[in-house]
This record gives sequence, structure tokens and C-alpha cells, in this order.
Amino acid sequence: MAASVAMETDDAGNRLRFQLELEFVQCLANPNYLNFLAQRGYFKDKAFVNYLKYLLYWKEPEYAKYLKYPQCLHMLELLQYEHFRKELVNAQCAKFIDEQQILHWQHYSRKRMRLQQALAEQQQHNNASGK
Amino acid sequence: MAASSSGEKEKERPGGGSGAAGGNSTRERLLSALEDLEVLSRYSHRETFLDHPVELIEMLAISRNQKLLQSGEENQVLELLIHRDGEFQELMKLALNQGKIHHEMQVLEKEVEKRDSDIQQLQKQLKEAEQILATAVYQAKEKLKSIEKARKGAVSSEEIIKYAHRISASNAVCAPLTWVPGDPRRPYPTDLEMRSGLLGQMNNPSTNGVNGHLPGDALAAGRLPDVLAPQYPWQSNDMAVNMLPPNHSSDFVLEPPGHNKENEDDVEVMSTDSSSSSSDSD
Repeated sequence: MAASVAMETDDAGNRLRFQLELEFVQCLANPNYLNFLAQRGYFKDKAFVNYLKYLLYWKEPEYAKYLKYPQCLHMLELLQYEHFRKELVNAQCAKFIDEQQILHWQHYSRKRMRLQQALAEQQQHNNASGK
Repeated sequence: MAASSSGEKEKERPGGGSGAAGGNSTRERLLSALEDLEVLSRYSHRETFLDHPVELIEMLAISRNQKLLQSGEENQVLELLIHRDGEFQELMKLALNQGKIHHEMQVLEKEVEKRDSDIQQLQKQLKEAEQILATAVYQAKEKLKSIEKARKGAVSSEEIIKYAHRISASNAVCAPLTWVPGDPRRPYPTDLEMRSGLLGQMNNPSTNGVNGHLPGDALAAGRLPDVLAPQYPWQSNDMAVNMLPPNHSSDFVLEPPGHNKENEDDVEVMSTDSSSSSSDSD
């Protein structure tokens, strides 16, 4: 389908393809979706694997700036390895990745909370010593 | 004669070997001449009017005083002696010349050695200089390479800041501060978002009821709006026309996987909220 819309001379077609590929590559950030694809056997299709390789162009800065979910690039890199693709058939693998992703996602907010706590404690300490 | 002959012996010089009749070195010729002289001078006349055999010298002395007739033999010996002496003198001169030449040769050799060592010293210094220069050039080249590399990868800081704003504002890379387990938001596009995006709508042109409340209709049936309104977090905002993806799509045959096979009733498809029940069918 994506191939059929790629018309080199058609501007609108190219823009559509751009948007489609943008959406698709970001969907790869979803480990559950990856598990879904693996279980449906898409990763065994040579054409699909080639497509994944082709999608690596999103790593260039001119394209990457359109990505809302940059984690997808890391997943895309991992997907280049056959071992990873095979592992994704397991649901536990997908779940593990999901958990790690969410934990990492919370990294900055946790850090910020810790800093706020530290700041609050220090202020308390100052107040206590002031009094 | 004996004294002088021993004195002569001390003046032997190791001269150059070439150029003599018979190929003898000057030294050997001198020695042989000396021997001859010695032999001749010790030639003693057996039969004399005296009681004991006398040497030629004595004979000469006597004969000069007494003016005796000398026999032919002594004459011959005398002539030989004189001849030999002449040769000897000449050889001595030759030896002296050769000595001078040899001395000069030694002086020149020393000079040559000195120049040689100078040249070697210069060579060492040149080699050192060359090494230092080569190192300097190499490092300069490396620096240039890294400058080039940095210049190639230069991104405007404003763009980076804008991008950072964009991905942070939507909580795409940093969890919202009020996030608790159970919150449906995720660092990746969720089920719902995917289905209501362009891909999801591609093959469900007429089924508006799939994601009823979501405004995916405008993108349905593959119609491209004139202005791509940024409806979903990952849909691009200000896309330039020339920023089109490299067109290799003829290299592979492809169908957008997954979405066209989804329907709401398919619980097998990933659902981020429920506990993931692995589909055992595959």
C-alpha cells in the first residue's frame, strides 16, 4: 500500500508517504506493537526487513526533527538485529521492554522530585536552625 | 757497515707493493738489497798473504795502501757492491717518498673521517626534524578532520531548543509529574493514537465508526488536507516539501502491516492497559 502511493512525480503522494512513514516509524516505539508484528510473522518477511533498514533514514537530523517519540529510533536500530526480532515473539520480552521504557520515561520526573525533596529538606533545616 | 746496515734496517717502511720488477714491495726490495750488501761486504778473500782470511774491506784498505794489483774477482765484487749500494740508495729515496705519501694519506683519511661524522650528525638531526614535522603535520590533519566533522554535523542551537520544547511539552520523553500506574499515557504512540492516525485510516476509509469520537475523518480515504493540521502528537507540523523521504520503495513490496487487520473486537492486539495476554496462536 505504501509502495503504491509512492509516486515520484506526484507531490501530494510524496507528502502522504512522508506522513505515513513518519507515523509508522514512531509506532515502532510501542513494544506491544512490535510484539504484535513479531507474532504475525512480519519480521520473517525479507521485504519487511528491508523496509526496516530503509527506515533508518529517520536518523538523519533533517528527518529526526519531525519525530515526536525519539525512542522509536532506538527500537529501529535494535530491530536491525535478527536476534532481537526473534526475541520479540515472546510476550514477556515485550512486557519487559515496556516496563523499562516507562521507568526510563519517569527518570526525569523522579530526579526532579528528588531535587525538590532535597530542597524542601534543606529549607526546613534552615528554618529550624534559624529559629 | 754493520752499524749503518742495522740503522738502515730501522728505516724500513711498509711501502706500496706495486711497481717493482718482480712485484716485490719496497720493503722486501730494501731487505734484499741489504742482504746483498752484507754478503758482498763480508766477502772474504781466502787466499791472501796474511794468516787469516780477510774481509773485502780490509783487502781494499790494504791494497790501497800497498797498491797491489787487484784480481778481477775483487773488482767484480767491488763493482757489484757499488751497484748494489746505488740501488739501495735509490730504494731508500723511494721509501722516503712513499713514507711522505703515506703520511699524507693518513692525514686525508682523518679529514675524511671527520667529514663523515659531520655528515652523520647532520643526518641524525635531519631525521629528527623530519619526524617532528611529520608528527606536527599529522596532528594538524587530524585537527582539520575533526573540524570538518564538527562543521558537517552542525545543527542550529535554536532548532535544537525548539525540538526539545516539542518533545518535552507533550510528555513524549518525560513522564508527566502526576503520572501514576494506571494512567493511559505512554512514551510511545498508544493503540488509540495509532488507529486514529493516517495509517490507521488508510485502509478503513468508510468505517468512521471505528474510532467514532476521534477526528480522524478528515484524513480518511487517503484524502490529503491542504493544510496538515497537527492533530496527533506525532503528525508533523511544518513539513517542507523538499524534505521527502528517500524513494526506495520500489525495492521492496510492502503493505502497512497490522492496522488493516485490526478491529476493535480483536483483543489479541496489544492493549496497553490490560495485562498482556500472549497470543499463543503463533
